[in-house]
Amino acid sequence: MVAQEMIQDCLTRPWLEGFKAQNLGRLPVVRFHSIKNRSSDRIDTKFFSKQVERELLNSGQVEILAAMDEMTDVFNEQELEASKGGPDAGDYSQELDADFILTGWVVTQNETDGYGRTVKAYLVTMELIDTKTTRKVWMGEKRIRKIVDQAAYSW
Amino acid sequence: MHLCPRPSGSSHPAVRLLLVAPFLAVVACQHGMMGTYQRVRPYMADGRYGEAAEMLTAAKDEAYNKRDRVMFWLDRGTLRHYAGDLEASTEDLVAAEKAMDVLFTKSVSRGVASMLTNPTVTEYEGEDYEKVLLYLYTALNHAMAGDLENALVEVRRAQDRLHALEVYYRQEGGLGTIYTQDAFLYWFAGILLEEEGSHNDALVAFRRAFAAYQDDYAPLFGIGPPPFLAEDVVRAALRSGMDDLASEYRALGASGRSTEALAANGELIVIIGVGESPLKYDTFITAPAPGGYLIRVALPALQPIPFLTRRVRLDARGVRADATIVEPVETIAVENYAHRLPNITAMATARAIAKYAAVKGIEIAGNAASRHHGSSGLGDLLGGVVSVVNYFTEEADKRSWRTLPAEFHVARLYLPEGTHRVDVVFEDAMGREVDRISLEEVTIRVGRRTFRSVRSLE
Repeated sequence: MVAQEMIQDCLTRPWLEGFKAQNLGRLPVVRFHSIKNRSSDRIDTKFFSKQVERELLNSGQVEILAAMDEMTDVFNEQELEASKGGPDAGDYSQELDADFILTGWVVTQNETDGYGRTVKAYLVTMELIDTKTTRKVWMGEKRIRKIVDQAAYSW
Repeated sequence: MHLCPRPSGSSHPAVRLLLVAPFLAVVACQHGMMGTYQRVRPYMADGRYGEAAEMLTAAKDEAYNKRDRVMFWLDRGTLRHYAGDLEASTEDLVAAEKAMDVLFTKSVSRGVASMLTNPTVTEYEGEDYEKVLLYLYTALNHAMAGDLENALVEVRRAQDRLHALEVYYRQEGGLGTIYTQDAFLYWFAGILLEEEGSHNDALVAFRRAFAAYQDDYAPLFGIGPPPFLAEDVVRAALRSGMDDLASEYRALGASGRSTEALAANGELIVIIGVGESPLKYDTFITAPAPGGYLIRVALPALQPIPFLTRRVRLDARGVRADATIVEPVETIAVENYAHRLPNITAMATARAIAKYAAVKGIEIAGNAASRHHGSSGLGDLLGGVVSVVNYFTEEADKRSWRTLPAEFHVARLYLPEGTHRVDVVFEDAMGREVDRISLEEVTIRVGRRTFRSVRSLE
């Protein structure tokens, strides 16, 4: 599984131990920005993004913040609380700051296999960026190939 | 194309009717599609696109054949787009795209078999500009639904399609196409990229758009870069930290003030379809062939459909903005067709000669068979029947994306955050209002773009 392999690779690199050593063993807080489709193929990247997020979360080695596109729901909830005057209304002080941002994207390329069939090559790239220094601390790439099925719509 | 029989040619009326029937069905089908469009059109003119789409769906089995499915899906996808049924519109247009892909692959390998058929009995795969402009609608559908990522995917697909067409024509070795890049879609890509925060990529797209308008659209289709484009380049250049480049485009009259305007307001971008794309009609070329035959070739010609609108503007309670033409669909269609006409004529002539050879073959085989049975004239009779059928059923392929506008315009207006009512006003050459479409509940957010798409037939 691509997500699993990439996240395993990410979490075995030196940045993680380095961060823990500098922060008294604290787990790094990561905000995951969903994987973007930068290709000309209609790919549903949401499913893959969720797989990545799940792998990160279940690893127990990092803390995950809600993705940016999920923040709207959180803000809406906080606005609602504010309008009701609840005990935590408008209190954003408990929000964690992200130590790292994980971003990624997919590009594709058409290739032909030995039988003349069109094969689509998907290249997934992910980057982990330190939010304080903007340094990239990890980059992973994974390439997968699939035979294209030219399914037509029925009339 | 077809062959005109010798004056002495004769055939039994029943035999002739039997042979003609399938071809008449094709002619009737073409007329059925035209008739459907004529029934749908008043609903379009009234802005009742949902009903127009339902009408088209109801006419599907009666007026459309499977070979016309690309046209049906394009037409219904467009109607559903203007009805605001964005997901269903995209579904139709993607179906059209997939059918186009399959038919394009087939057409490359179809070869001689297609020579003997009437073009109207072949599957319609769409004109080049139709293959590209469907992505404008799919991109708009996503953009209007707030899905910029997938809108960009559609724009990239358009660019891939143009590239594939260019490669195909280069391999064909003929005259090729003059529609090799779509300036409007480059610009639209720039706007989408800027919305996504990819300022460097947006800058590249805006500059490509500028170059495409200057190098292709101005000399070939008669329109240069729209006035707002230099400003887009300057803003994207400033945001990318490329001040020198910004200065270069400032010399073209751009101020760079749009950065502040967008920081304090939101921007409404309205893509406006005007008029109707050109109609195809038959033209015939007739030439004598050996044996007293006449070879007759039908070619489609494009007839622009006149429309009144010469100026479009937005009006938001007195705050106004003029629209600019960005995509001259009619001119692209007509000019590209004119460019390809020698190729199209050569293909049609080759088809006519192939049919003539087939008729002669039928004559020879028929006469040999009748001599074998001690009679004579069977071949002449069959040849005569086939050539009569060919003569009376010769018809060019007049199918096209009927619901596509003749032109696309773009109007842009900065508005404060909130909900607005905006009128799109269409005026004729004398400045008289010929149509008005009200956009209710236009929601504007600071620093963001809101996309709308409207259409007038006037």
